Formats: sequence, C-alpha cells, structure tokens
Amino acid sequence: MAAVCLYSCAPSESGVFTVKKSFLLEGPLFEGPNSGQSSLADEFTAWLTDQGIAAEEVKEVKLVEVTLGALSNPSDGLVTDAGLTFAGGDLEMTQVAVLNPVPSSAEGAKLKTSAEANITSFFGLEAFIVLLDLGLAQDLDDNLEATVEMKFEVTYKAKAS
Amino acid sequence: MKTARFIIALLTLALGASNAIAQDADQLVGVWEPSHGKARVKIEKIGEKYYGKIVWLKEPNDETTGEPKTDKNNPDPALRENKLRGYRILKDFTFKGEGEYADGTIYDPENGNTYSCTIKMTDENTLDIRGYIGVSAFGRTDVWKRLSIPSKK
Repeated sequence: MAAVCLYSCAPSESGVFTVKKSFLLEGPLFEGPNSGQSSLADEFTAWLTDQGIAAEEVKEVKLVEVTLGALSNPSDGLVTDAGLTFAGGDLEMTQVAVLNPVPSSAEGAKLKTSAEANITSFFGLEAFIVLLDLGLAQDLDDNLEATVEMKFEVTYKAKAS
Repeated sequence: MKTARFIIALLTLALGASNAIAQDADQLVGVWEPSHGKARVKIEKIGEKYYGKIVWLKEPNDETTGEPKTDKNNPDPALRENKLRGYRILKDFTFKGEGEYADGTIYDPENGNTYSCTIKMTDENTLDIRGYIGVSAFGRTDVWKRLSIPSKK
C-alpha cells in the first residue's frame, strides 16, 4: 500500500501529445454508418522518446480534443455524425468522442470528448485500434479518406531535478 | 529427408487447421435480425474480436422530435448524442470454438444497461444471443436470424 502511494503520490508533470491520423473508409459505402481504422501507438512511442519519458513513467492519458480534418470528398453535408472509439488487447472497446450532427462543412468540426472514458491502459499496449465512425448522408461508390487530429494530455512521473 | 518431409506435412496440417478455425470464427460476420424485427445488427471483426452495430431500425426517428433516434440513455452524458443507427451494441466477443463466442457484452439502448453476453451459432443462419447479469443461468436468450444483403460495405 505504501509502495503504491509512493508511486501514485510522486510529483507529476504533463505534456500535450498531438497527432493527425488518416482514416480510409473503403468503398463502395452505404448511406448510414461506416467505419475506418487507424493506429497511433507508434506515434505515441516516438513522442515519449522525444520527450525523454519512459513508458512506465506514464500515469494517465486523457483525450482533450478531437478535430475533423479534410475529407477526400468535400461535398457539403456528406457526413451527418461522427464518433471515435478505441479497441485493442483484452481491453473493453471504449468510445471516446462523438459529434451529432456534424456541421454541413465537416472540416474543422470538434467532437465532444468523453470525460468518463478511461483510455490510459490503451497506451500501455504494443498496438491498439482507433476507429472513426462516420454517418454518411448518401451512398458512395468510391473510398472516402478522412483526417482527424487528436490532442491528448499525458501525465507522467516528474523527472528528478 | 524423411524427417524434413514429415515436419513440412505437420506444418501444412497445422496451418490448414488454423485457417479453418479462423474461417469458422468469421462465420459470425454478417447482418443479423433479432426476433423482435425492429433492428438489424451488422457484426464485423475488428482486430481479433467481434462487434455488432445497429445498421437499420424499423422506426429510425424519435416520435416526439422527428429526428433520428439517439442513445439518450447512455450512462455517459457526453455520448448521448450518438445516433442509435450505427451504435455498437455487441462488443468484445472472442471465438471459443464450436460456434461459441464469449467474453462480450450487449447494450440495451432502451434502458442504457450493459449485460454480459454469449453468442452460440446454432447453424450458419441462426444465433442464440444470451444476455445475463452475473452468471449465465440468470439471463435471457434471443434468437437472431442472418439476413442476406447486397455486397456493398
């Protein structure tokens, strides 16, 4: 118990990990819900290395902002709603953000992030899946590519000064 | 030489068996209709697990607002604006062999509750979906039927 307190009560620092990912929704696509997958474990590992943080020093990861970027099909009103979900390992699939409705011009729209979603364990996995769910207003014969920018607040054990 | 041939034969058998198991497991992938007929659920494989999302609702719009139904009973207030159509109600199922999938959950959007769940494929077009709390003996089983749909994703 004392050991747990020593670790969890140790001084913390925090940093912001920002990553932009591309999601491919393979066509043909139906009007309604469709999904694309990506991963960001490699980018997170690289960010930790850049910051000089060891993986075991990470205490908490919180998603603070999700922004929709450009779509390969820029038609206004194409995307009706959007959601972001994490899945991987033996962890329960966890939805982390949603936006319904999405504004007519989807680029720049910010999703509402869940304060209750506990995602720290995903970042301890070697790899995990990030799912982008997009509701489409119409059928599409082609693929649809979407970019999403995610911003995380990472709390880690303070470095000894 | 004989030993090498024997090892190759063994490896071929092992790989064949592994492919057969994966194919058996993936029989779950498809669109299914619960017995009440009010919804259709598309089961897909994500990573090594199986998930099912609502892709069709008999009554897609809210009676009072006329807008598409949302997950208004979600225990997480931030997620209540999720459209029900597209929402994943089956999560995290792993294949256990012999048509059985376990370790998953089923979500009831009518009350916002999530239950432990097992899936038994009784034949290639029929699923027994059993939701329960605590132990499987205290639960309810619903029979889902496979739908054939056009080849779009």
